[in-house]
Amino acid sequence: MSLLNIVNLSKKFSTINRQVTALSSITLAVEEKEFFVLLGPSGCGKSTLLNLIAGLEQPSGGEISLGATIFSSRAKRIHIAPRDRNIAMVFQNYALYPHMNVAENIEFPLKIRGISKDKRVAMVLEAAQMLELDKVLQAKPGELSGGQRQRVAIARAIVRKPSLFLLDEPLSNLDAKLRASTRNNLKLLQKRLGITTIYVTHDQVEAMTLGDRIALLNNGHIEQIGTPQELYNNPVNHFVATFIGSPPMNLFTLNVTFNNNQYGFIVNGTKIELPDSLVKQIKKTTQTILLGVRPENIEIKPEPSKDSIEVTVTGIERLGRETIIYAVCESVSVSLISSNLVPQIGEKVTIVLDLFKAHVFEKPKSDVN
Amino acid sequence: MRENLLERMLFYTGLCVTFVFILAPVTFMILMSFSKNPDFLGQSFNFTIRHFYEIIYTRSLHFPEYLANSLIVSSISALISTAIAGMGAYAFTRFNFPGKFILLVGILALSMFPQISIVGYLFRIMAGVGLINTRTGLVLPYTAWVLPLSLWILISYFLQIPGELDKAAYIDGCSPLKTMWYVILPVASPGLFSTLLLAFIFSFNEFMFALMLTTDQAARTVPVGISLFQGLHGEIPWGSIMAASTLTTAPVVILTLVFQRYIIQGLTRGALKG
Repeated sequence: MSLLNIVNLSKKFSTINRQVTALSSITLAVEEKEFFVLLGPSGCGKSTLLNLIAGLEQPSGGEISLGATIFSSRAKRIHIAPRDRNIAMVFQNYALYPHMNVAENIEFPLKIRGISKDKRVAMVLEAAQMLELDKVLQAKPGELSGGQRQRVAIARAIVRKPSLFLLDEPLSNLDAKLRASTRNNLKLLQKRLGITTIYVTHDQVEAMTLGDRIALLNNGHIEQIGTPQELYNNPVNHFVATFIGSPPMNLFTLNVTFNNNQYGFIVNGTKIELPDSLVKQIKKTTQTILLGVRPENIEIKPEPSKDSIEVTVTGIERLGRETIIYAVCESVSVSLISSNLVPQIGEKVTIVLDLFKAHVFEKPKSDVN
Repeated sequence: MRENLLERMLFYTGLCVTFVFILAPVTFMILMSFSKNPDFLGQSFNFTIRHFYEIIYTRSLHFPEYLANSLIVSSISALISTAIAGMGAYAFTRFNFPGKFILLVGILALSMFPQISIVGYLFRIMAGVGLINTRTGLVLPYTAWVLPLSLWILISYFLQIPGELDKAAYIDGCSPLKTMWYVILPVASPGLFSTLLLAFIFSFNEFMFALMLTTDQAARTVPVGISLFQGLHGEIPWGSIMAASTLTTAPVVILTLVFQRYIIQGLTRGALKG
C-alpha cells in the first residue's frame, strides 16, 4: 500500500460572481520514499494540490490520506490542521522568518513542538551541517544570498524528520548554474534521508531530472502519471507530448487517406506511408490525426530519397554540441536537432521523418494546435 | 543643463518653503521661551531660563502634575489601543468572517464623528460611573478614540506581510495564535512602534475630552493646563506658555528620535527572495 493516497479530489474557489474549479477528480498515490513531481503550466492547479496536501486549504470533495490517517475528507468531515500532519514545506519565496537568525529559523519548528533545548541544538547543527550552513548560523536571512536562504528553508523543513516533504517551485528564484547544482544536491539529500517528497514545478527539465515519477497536470486535471521515461516515450495525448521535451515535439495535422490497407499522407508531393505500429492506433473512422515526431527523430539527408521532404530553413540555434534547426514546408513549421549538418538560413534541405519513433494522437475537439 | 539647474532651484526653493513653514512656529516657540521680554517680536533678545524655572517650581501652576498626567494617560492609551489594534489587524487580514468589510467601514465611520458631538454624552457617562477628573476617565475614551486609527494603520502594515510566512508557521506547528505571537507581531514590530508613537501623540495632544472630563491637577493634562495659564495671572504669561509648550514637545521629539530606527527599518527584510 502506498504512503500518500489522494482519491477523487476536487477544489473549487468561489469569487464574488462565479465559481472557479481549480482541481477536479485528482486520483494519485505516492509510494514511500518516492520523489514525486507535480508538473504543469502556470495555473494548472499544482500549487493548490500541494496546499491541499499540506492542509492549508480544505478540499471541496474527495479524500487525502497518509498511511492509515485520513488528512482531509469532505464526506467524513475530517480536516487535520497542518500543524498535526508532520509535513514540512519549502516555499518558492522561502518564507524565512526575517526577525530570527538562521539557527532560530531552523530551530523554530522544534521549539514550537516543545522539544528540549539540548536535543534542539544537536538537531539544528546536524541539519545545518548537512546543508553547509554551519558558518552562517548567526546571520539574519536578510544578510544571506539567495542560495543560502534556499538552503535555510530546506534545513528548516528537514530538521524535524517529517513524514512528507513538500516543495513548491523551490528553485525558480535561483540563477541557472545554482539551480542545476542545487537540483543535484536536493536529489542526493532526498535519497540519503529517504523522505517521501512531493515537488511542484513548471519546469519539465527539473521534473525529468528529479522525479521518480511525474504527474502532469493541465487545467485542474491529471493528464498522465508515470516515470519520466514513460512520459517521454509514451505520451498519452498531444498535451503530454508537447509539454515534455525541449524543443517540443513536432505536431503535424494530417488528413489521412486509407488506401490498400495502408494509411498515408501526401506532403509537398511526396507520398508517405505510416508504419503498421502507428496504423494500429488509428480508428478506422478517423479522417484527421495529429502526427507527433520529436526533433531528434528527424534527420537531414544530403540526397533526396523516396520518402524525403524538402523544407526551407528559417532559423538556427547553435547550442554547441548540437544545433536546433527551424524550417517550414507548405506553411507547416518543423524543428529538428542536427549535430553534423548545419545548413544556412533560407537554404532548402531534404529531411526524413523516423516514423517508427513517431506518435499519433487524436485531434482535440476544441483547440487548434 | 539649464533644465537641470531650474529643476534643482525649484527643488531647493520648495524644500526651504516647507522647512520654514513647518519649523518657523517651533523656532518662534523655543526662542520666546528663552527670552526675557517675550511679549513682542523684534525687541532685543536676552537669554534667560527664568520661564522654565517658573513653570517647574511655581506650585500654583501645577505644570509637573499636568505633564505627569499627560505622559501616563497617553502612554497607557497608546499601549492598550495598539495591543487591541494589533490583534484586530491580525484577525482582519488573516481570517475570513461574515461582515468583515462592513465592520471595517463601520469602524472608520465611527471615527469620523466630531469629538464635540459625543463629548456631552461622554461627560454624562463618566459622571455616572464616577470617573470625572480621574486618569482612568481619560484613558478609556482616549483608547476608544485612537483605536480606529491604530487599527487602520496596522491593517495596512499587516497586509504587506506575505501570507507565505503564515503558511510556513502553520506547517512548522503553530496555531493561529502562536503564528501571530511568534511570527506576525515580531515581523510587524516597525509598524507596531510607529502606531504606538502615533497613538501616543494623538492622545498627548488631545484637548476637548481633557477639558470636559477633568477639573483640576488630579487628572488635567498639559494642553488644557497650558490654556488655563492665562487665567491665573490676569495677563497672558507668554514666556511661561512657551516654556511649557517647549517642555511638552520634548517627550514627543525624544520618542520619535528613539523609535525612528525601528520605524525606518525594512518591514520584511530577508523574508522573501528580495
